[in-house]
Amino acid sequence: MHKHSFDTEQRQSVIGMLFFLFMSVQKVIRIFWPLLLLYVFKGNASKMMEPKWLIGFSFLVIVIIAHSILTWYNFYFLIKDKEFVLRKGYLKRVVIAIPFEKIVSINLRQNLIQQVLGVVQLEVDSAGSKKKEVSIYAISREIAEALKEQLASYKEDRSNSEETQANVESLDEKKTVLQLSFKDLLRISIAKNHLRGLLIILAFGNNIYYQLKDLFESEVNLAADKTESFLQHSSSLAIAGLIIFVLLVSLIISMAEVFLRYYDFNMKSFGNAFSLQSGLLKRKNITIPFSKIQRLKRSINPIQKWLSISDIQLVQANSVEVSKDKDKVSIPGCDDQKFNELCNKIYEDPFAQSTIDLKPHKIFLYRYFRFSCLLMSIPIIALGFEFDWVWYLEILVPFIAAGIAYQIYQRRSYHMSHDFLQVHSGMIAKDYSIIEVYKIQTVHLKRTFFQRRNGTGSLILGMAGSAVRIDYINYDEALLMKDQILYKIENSNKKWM
Amino acid sequence: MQEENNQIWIADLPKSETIEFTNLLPRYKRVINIQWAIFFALLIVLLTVAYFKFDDIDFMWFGAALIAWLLLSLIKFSFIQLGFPNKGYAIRQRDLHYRTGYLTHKVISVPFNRIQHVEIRQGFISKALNIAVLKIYTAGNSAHDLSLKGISLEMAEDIKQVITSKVTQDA
Repeated sequence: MHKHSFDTEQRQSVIGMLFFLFMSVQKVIRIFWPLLLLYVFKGNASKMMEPKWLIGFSFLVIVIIAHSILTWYNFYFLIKDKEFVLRKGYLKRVVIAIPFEKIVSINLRQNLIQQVLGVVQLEVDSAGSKKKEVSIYAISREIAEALKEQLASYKEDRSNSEETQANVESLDEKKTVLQLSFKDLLRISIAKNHLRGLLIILAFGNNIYYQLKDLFESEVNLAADKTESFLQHSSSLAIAGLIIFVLLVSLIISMAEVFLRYYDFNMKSFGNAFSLQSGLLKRKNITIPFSKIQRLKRSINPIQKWLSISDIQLVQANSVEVSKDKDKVSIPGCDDQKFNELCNKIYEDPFAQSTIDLKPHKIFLYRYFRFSCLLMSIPIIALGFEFDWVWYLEILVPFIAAGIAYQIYQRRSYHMSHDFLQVHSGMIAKDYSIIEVYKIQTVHLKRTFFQRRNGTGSLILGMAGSAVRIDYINYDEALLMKDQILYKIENSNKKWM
Repeated sequence: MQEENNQIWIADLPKSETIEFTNLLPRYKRVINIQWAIFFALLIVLLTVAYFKFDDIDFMWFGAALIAWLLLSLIKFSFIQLGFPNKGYAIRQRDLHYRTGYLTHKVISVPFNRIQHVEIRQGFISKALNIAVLKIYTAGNSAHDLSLKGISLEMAEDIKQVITSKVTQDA
């Protein structure tokens, strides 16, 4: 194949102008179609021929054409110093540079317009956040292939070695880590948050009632009459029955959900990865290399604690375009032993290292107290205008808020060791997170006016796929923590993804 | 084996308190001022148009809106002037820091070996005053990415060069 050189800046193929034109026209139509529709349907179409409309219209056309030509004219790409560089924009100038080794994948695409024009779109995926912007919209296939080849050439030897590694791994024996039986699934369903099931009942309950009524009009009336008289006779019994009924239905809904998602849940480990299979109608099959796990979360609600199970979630680093659902892998029904087993598999001795234990400052308590007071007062005051007696509930608010704030404060603690950071949090449920320090991407240190006065600060640790907040710790400790985290990141050569 | 052996902070680390921040270019303040002036001008135009277009708006409401507009713009502009000296950036051997905020002080730190790619942006007004924005992307949440504002285009190019060389050197 003819070797193309991308050392100098070049534009997209000339036909690309047409592509930008089409795209702008599409955009304009998308914005103005309701207006157009209005005119056509109101029978005012003839009005469109009036001079002022014609002038406006032709002005719009000129602007669109100018915009497409300028966009095309000011769009350059080149390869320089092992970087893929894009320069674009005429009103607002943007220069994007991606080093080769940060390129995750290169895709060629064609939508309908591009097919008609015979051009190709080249998308460069990096692990950064806004990857949609890094694409060239209209180049000939030949150039696209050549460019892709050059961009990929650097990556090739690396991915090759990775592949062989993966092959070796698959030869390793697969060991079952977790399997969920029917009984486990039942326990998981019972411990589920039933609030959602309740909401579904509320949403559909009315609907179902009316549909049933249509079907069995007379029977329902008869039954309703009967229940009414029954209600009058024994209201407390009826209410108890209703509660049991609602609980039962929400339990059934949770159960259906759990069985659909986790039926025949099977988790195996091989080499440095997990493979997961689950699902009743649609089998899900996921492979997670340990290195891609950015954060391990665990949550235990009171019922789960009683049944000694917990939910574990693995937050993965993925290119952003993958749906959020796939980034977070849940592993339900883990007991303490399984949890420890998992942690020890993924991390090297996570709990052996001694830790520096930090608590949030007392101010944190007051903040949550104020916040929950406010949050509860709003609906009470609003409802109070309807029913006077609701206002009396306001007396209870400070007490409940104090309880909530105290609980949150009690639960919250941060534990920093050489390689790991563990965060305990939660209110009703006990939440827990463990991360490897070197996988942190950015460190934010925030101090509000009040925090400056009482010598506290908050750290926000940006990670791929989530962020970890270290709220309201002593400012000096926050600085120490920040320095240590930065030091750990900067002196680690391990691949974080 | 369970002796008291509590972990302590690693001593002798590069301290972030000692970082010397470089202030942003004074003309960047002009850029922010102009941007917000345009915003508030548009707002007042909108308010006036709305008042004269719809006859049933009481003059009292218009007056209240005017006062609110005045207060808002006063607060915004005083915050810009007061907060500007606090804005700054610092580059160390292995990381980059940006400090901003008036009521809430924020320091964003990004290690070079976590940077994915870099972007230089120039808006309409900034171009006229030779001001550029260096946007730094990491794999973290985009809400926590760093935008280094208020430096000259040459400076942005220079910093980008530094970052790029560090990034490739590490890999």
